[in-house]
Amino acid sequence: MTLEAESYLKGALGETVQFRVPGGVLGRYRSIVVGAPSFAVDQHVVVFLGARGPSVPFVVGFSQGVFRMVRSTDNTSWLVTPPTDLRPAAGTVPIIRGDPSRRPLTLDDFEQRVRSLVGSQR
Amino acid sequence: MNRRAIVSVLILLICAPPQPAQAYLKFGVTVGDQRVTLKWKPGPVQYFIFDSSVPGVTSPDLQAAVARAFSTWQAVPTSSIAYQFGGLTSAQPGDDDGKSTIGFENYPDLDGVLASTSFVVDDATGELIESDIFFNASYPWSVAASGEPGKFDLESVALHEIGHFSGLGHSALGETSLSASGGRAVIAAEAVMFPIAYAPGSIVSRTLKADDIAGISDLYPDGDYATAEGSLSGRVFQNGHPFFGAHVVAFDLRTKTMVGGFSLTDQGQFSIGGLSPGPHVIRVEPLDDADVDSFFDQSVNPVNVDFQVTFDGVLVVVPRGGDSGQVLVTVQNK
Repeated sequence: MTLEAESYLKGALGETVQFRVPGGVLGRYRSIVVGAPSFAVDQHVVVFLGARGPSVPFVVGFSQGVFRMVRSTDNTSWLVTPPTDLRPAAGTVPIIRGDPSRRPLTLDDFEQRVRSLVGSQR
Repeated sequence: MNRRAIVSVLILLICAPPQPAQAYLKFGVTVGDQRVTLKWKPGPVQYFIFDSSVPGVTSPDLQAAVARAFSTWQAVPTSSIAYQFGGLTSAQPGDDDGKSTIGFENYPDLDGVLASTSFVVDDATGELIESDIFFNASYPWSVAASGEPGKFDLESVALHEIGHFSGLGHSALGETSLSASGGRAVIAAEAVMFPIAYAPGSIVSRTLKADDIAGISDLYPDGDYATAEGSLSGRVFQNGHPFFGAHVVAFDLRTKTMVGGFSLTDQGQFSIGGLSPGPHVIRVEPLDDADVDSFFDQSVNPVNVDFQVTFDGVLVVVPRGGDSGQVLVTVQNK
């Protein structure tokens, strides 16, 4: 898979980045892997990639490493969908579908939260 | 050819969207201009066990646990699917050899992936040639009869993967919680095909639920499935517009069981089969708590998750051997 990179949360692999996604087609045979993500031309995504040594990166945890973006209704920003789970400060909280307080994050907010989570785990 | 070799050469993507059809999510491929459901031909489906082991689980343990899981699916009285053990093999899951193979493989890079199922399909005909399952050896596994603290129950996870192996996609009938450490835990699930596993030590998912039984029976109907069960169908709207991807749940007031489906067209159409005759409550909800990609090919059909859980105000009676007629549900905006 090849993406045109608009920005990086971490590292820099250039204007385009290639990574492996399981599955594919060879001749008349199609390999399908349940849970592997798929992509469409012109779609905007945030991907979390991993790699071991000098190899082609892979997307982390199949589709768990892919977050898709849509334009906000006023077309001023990108939103990351679906609403990203926000962990509680302590204990556990049930995730309630359709909760009006659950809203997609703007890309900037999403990036800040990722950086905050990474920072808190150091 | 080994699938890993294919993956390393090609940058083509898989396309495994569940098929818009009668309820449940099924896998399918496009052949020409036709959509073909991925399912096995009639007759026992043969599988092989990769001769492998992990700490605490020997190869015979693996074989026995997988056999129990296959037996559970095969025992569904309204489904005709049957399976047959073909023997132990040194071939690994993922070897494209025309044989369906199941076993352990070590994928430490696959964060959050306990196991995975894959298919090889003839693109010219849509024929399902093989399906392989690997259990990620980087996780701790158990085959203890009562489960084992700190280890995932192999039979439970095998039951889920064999649902995929048989052609079923994921079910959204489950609720989860989020912890301060970022972990997701299942509070309750009404389907073995819910995509998130119960915590290590649990053996709850060794038993199929009504939703799983309806799904496998829909794919491989047998017995009195068509005449004894009924279906419920309709359309989902928001602000007057039909939409794709709403999760629709039919709750049976008599049996206290539930079966889920989705609005699977741009016209908001849903159809849930395999329901016990009688009154049902309908709930429509978004997939906003989920890894939506594990349900739908988001590159093709973006899913609308921007609405509240909505209960239809009317009890719907499912007739025996028939359909409820069109139920129209308008969801509430957030």
